Amino acid sequence: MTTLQTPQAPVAADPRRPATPVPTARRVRTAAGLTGRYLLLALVFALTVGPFLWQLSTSLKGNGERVFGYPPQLLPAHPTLHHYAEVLDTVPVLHYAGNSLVVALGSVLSNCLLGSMAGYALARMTFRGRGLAAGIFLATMIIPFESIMVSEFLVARSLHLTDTLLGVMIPGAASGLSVMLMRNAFRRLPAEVEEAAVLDGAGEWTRFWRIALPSVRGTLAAVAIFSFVFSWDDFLWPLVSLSDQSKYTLTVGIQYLSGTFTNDQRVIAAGTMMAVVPLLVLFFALQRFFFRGVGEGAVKG
Amino acid sequence: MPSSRGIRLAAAAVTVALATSACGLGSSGSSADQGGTPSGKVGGTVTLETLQLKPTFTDYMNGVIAGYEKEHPGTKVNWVDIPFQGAQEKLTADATAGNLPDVVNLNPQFAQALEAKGLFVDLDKAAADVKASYVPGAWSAFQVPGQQGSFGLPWYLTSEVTMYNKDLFKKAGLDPEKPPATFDELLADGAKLSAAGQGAFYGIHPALENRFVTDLAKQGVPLLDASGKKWTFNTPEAAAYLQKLVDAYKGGVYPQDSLTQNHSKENEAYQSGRIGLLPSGPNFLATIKKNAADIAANTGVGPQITGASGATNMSVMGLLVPKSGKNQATALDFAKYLSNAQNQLAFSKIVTILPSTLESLKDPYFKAEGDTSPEGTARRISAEQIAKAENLVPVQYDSRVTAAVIGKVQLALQGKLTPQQALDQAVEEADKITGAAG
Repeated sequence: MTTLQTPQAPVAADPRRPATPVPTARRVRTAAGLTGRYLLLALVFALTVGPFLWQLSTSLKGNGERVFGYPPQLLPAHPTLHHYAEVLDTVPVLHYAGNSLVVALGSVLSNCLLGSMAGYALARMTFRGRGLAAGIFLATMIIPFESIMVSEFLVARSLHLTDTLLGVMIPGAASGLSVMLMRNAFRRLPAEVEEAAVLDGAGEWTRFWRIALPSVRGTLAAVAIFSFVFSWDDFLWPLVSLSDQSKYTLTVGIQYLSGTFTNDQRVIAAGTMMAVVPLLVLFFALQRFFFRGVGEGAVKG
Repeated sequence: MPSSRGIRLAAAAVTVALATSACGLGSSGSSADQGGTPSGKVGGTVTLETLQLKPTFTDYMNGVIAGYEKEHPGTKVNWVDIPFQGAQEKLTADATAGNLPDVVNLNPQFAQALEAKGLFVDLDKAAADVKASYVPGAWSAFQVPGQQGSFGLPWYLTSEVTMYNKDLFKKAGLDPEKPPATFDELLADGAKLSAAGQGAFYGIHPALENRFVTDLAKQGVPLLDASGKKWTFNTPEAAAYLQKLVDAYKGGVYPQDSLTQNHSKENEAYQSGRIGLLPSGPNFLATIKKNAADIAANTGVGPQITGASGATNMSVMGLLVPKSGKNQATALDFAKYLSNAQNQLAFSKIVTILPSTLESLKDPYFKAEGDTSPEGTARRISAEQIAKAENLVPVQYDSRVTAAVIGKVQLALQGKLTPQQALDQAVEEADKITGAAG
């Protein structure tokens, strides 16, 4: 909203011109700028949502229709839900989704809890090596998973956690990203509030749990969404650590839709649509907090 | 995308190398005491791990397993199937942990890193009794240059054919019953198609990462020396062939954006009617049928594109028996059973693949007499060419080498390097990866 008003600000500030009425030429220019902005927004929208719509349309296309037609046809000529039924027949999607949900919800809980505790310690407590600790958390964010995969697998194996959902969850239970997001959120809270609480006799735990944590709900929502999405989308680690097919998570399980010799793009698309639904539900449920959380992280002060 | 995947794979490979050499888990402990042929009685439980055969072939596989268990009372086969994507990473992790299944289904490229570490039973010795029953070119696909032995029982094969869109052939004034057979014909037909298409459709897609090096091998260019470390494909013949591709790209034979695209984009382009020619495995016909029925109906099938020598390539799948297995005798026995002539013939009747056993290839099914459907034609053609086909691309040509080589070839097509320069630099980079250059 604020951005739309900015072009008019110099008008009022300019002493050589009357502030009102706004000249017609200027109004036209504003309208043109507005149109331009919306066109740009529409373009970006098309770029980001286009592939998703293509996938959705593919999943609904009848068997006789071309999938890779050129130019692409977005509206299916013979829409059908048949491919969704086929997905349910081929792969125990609901069972796999259940596994994914267990892992993802576990990851959300642990990231919110452990991430905020670690973040609070890094932001508010003074101890030797605090900067170093923060640096290490930051560093873990840039290490590619592939390079530590084997050692992680060996650790999981020696803990007897391979082939369990707990083993799938633990490596991402407190990610560097969650810790850093929470740390930044806590750092921006005014210290005075907590100092006042100290005078009232509040201990560290009370300050964390009763004062600091409720003030960063937005960032918590962001951490929850991020950890849910990362965990839900993770493919390689569940594949590597699980061998029992009944424990597969959804991303691994829906691989079976594309066989070695058959490749029905419509069924694959239907499967991916089904995998995306929980993400959309979660995002729309939390989006109010999420955008506040993103804002919280952006303003420094 | 390909490059970032290359880097990630490279990172994984380095870690595996470190992990296996440093802790020696899995390999050293078990290989020392199991030098030779697995011995012991057949019985007990074995685990078989396959690459993405569920759910399409669940019934077939369960049938074979039930048959084996019935013939050998007291045995039990656990069948595990893993998705193709990520399989290499999973197997390297399992190998490091000494956790490999008793029988594992791999292609030579996947297998080679593990073969080179001596993780598998040498089947030249252990399965000498059945060696003669397999297609020789498929058997040798599981050899590692510079090492004794061969490590996989060939399981099922595919041999590329040339699919083409008859409609587009007619539009370009080409004979729809006469597909190209040589590289020069392929480029000439491709040029005609692209000229007729005027941007609406093209002749061919370069699919460099999938085809370039194979095509060099088919034209008699030596790829790798005997040590298995030094690459040798920067010959004048190779440069001359690359020059033809450069001219084709400049002349608009390939779609402008196809330079960096892989085989799956080529497949999509064929299914959307954007390209007229598609050299690919015959099994791809089923996919075309599903995704673009009208194009499938207009698809003709010709033999694999060859060079002057007529050498043809094939893709091989195999069954390997890791030395870490506790029940190697049963594992090997089951692998032989799974890949025997009878079971492979039954397998190739449900999907367009070829059996690796010579006896089943003689079956009239592969003559496909009177069957003029694209599938029938593809089956006949590929069965005819398989007997003399080989796995032409050495196993050392893995994803890292591919990324390095194709990067240079792309620069040549863009005109930033001359063909000879590009190939020289590609060889240099590839040598660094395989360890010949300091």
